Amino acid sequence: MNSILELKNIFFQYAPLTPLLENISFSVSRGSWLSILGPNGCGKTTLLKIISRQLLPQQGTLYLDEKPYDTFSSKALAQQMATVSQECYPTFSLSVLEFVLLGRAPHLKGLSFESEADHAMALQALKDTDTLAFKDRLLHTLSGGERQRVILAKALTQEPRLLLLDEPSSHLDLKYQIEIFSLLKELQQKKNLTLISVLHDIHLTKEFSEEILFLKNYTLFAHGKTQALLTEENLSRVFDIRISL
Amino acid sequence: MSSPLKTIVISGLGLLILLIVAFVSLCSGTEFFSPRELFMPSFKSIVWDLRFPRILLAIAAGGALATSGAVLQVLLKNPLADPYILGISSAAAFGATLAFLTHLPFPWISVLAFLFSLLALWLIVLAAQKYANTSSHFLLLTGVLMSFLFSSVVTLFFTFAQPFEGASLLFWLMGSLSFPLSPWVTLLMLGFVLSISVLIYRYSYALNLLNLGEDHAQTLGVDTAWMKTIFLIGSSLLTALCVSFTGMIGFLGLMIPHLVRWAWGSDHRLTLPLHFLSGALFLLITDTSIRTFSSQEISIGAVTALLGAPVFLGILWKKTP
Repeated sequence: MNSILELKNIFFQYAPLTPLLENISFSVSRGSWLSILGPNGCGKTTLLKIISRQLLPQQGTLYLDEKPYDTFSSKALAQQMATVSQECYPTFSLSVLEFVLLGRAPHLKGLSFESEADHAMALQALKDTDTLAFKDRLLHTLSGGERQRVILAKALTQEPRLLLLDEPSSHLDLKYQIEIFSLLKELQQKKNLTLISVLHDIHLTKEFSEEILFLKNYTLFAHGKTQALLTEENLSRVFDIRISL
Repeated sequence: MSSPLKTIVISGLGLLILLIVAFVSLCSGTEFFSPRELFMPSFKSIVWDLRFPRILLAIAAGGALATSGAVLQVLLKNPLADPYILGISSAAAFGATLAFLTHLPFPWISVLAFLFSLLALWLIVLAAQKYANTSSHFLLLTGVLMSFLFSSVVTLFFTFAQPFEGASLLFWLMGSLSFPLSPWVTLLMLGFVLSISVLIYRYSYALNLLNLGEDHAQTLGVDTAWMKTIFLIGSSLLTALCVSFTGMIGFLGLMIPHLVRWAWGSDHRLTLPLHFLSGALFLLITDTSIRTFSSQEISIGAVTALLGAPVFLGILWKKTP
């Protein structure tokens, strides 16, 4: 009962005869931080979308808490896991606070009017991501980095046990990269949060995640402890370029 | 930020204004009646057989079109979407034309208009299910093309129609609330429109989530395929009901939702009732003005477009940097 998430023999293709992911099996232990690494177009984001059930694999099964995904309703799954996507463009603009409050969605009932406690939670998430100052601004007026922190705040408001991050640092400057990742590390330790991230930054990966998973040629290249796997030799073989750490 | 109290207070105020305007509208017309005269036997047929159903029709149609427009704009992720863009109204107009063509009895015009709008709806839902994963532009384009298809058939028939038939056909193309209906039929229609609107309101929070995009809505626990089906069927039924009684009244479903969002934001738990009330109020005031200040029957579709297009352009140009 140690693994929170398990994937068995996942096969996925967008179009017939061009498999993107083949024979993917691995499990993620509770309270760990797994980073998915691999060259462009190897299916990292697709794998993340399969885990968040935005995409359904053609073959294979996923298990959350050792129960197959089928047994979870959309809402039940959203109560357990949140996704931090790279961007969000609402059709009709809304304020930052309204946006972050939507993170409470999986926990609300009926017409879903938020309680005081829900508001407090959203404000805390804004504070944690250092975005409280612009809670009344419209989402589309924020810069890329600011918006990325607000998207993270929404995911934290969701109170997930499993957090999926798709290149959460792509728009962040150095200061916020360290701050946000330190915050995530703290949540991981305090609340036993499990994180799965797609990252391009080798140094952040090395610093923050305990486990890594290499994807190459549409399948699993290696999966294990960061210390053991994140070597110059492995990086060179996955990315086809000499990298010195 | 919306709360149940705020929603109830603002919607309640809106409802009160609508009722007052409806009452004034009952008194107004080419002949003005004082409130006491409303119940006099000699005026009974004008007030209760002509004005009353027309007022109910204005409320039902205005409310239905605005609600349907607001929902479709979120659903298709396109601020320019409205009930007409899905081709449902042209399908209804086609049905009406067909009833003309085959000289069916009078009530069949509405029945056929309704059946054909359901056909258009069915085609759209079918396309939506088959291509569930494709972008919302797909649906929008399907609607536009369907609209062209049905409209062109109507226009073709228009060319070959007898002069008197042509005048009646214009009714479907331009929209009008002058269709003679019994109070009971309009009450029934208002009842249907209200029921569908309440059903849509029940899922108003899902609409807030869908506004973020389907991906985000899904990761927040929305069963997007199911919700989209509900909203599509609901808004299409509203349009179908409306068009089968009033012909094509354009721009309302586009303009009112924008005005409401501009004034009250985009939390649909608060704004959906306001979309309905504003649409109803707008159509009621416009129609009352028309029949009070003009002795001739003016097409309300032309008036709404005349008022709506500049307002809409203003909003569009202001919003676009």
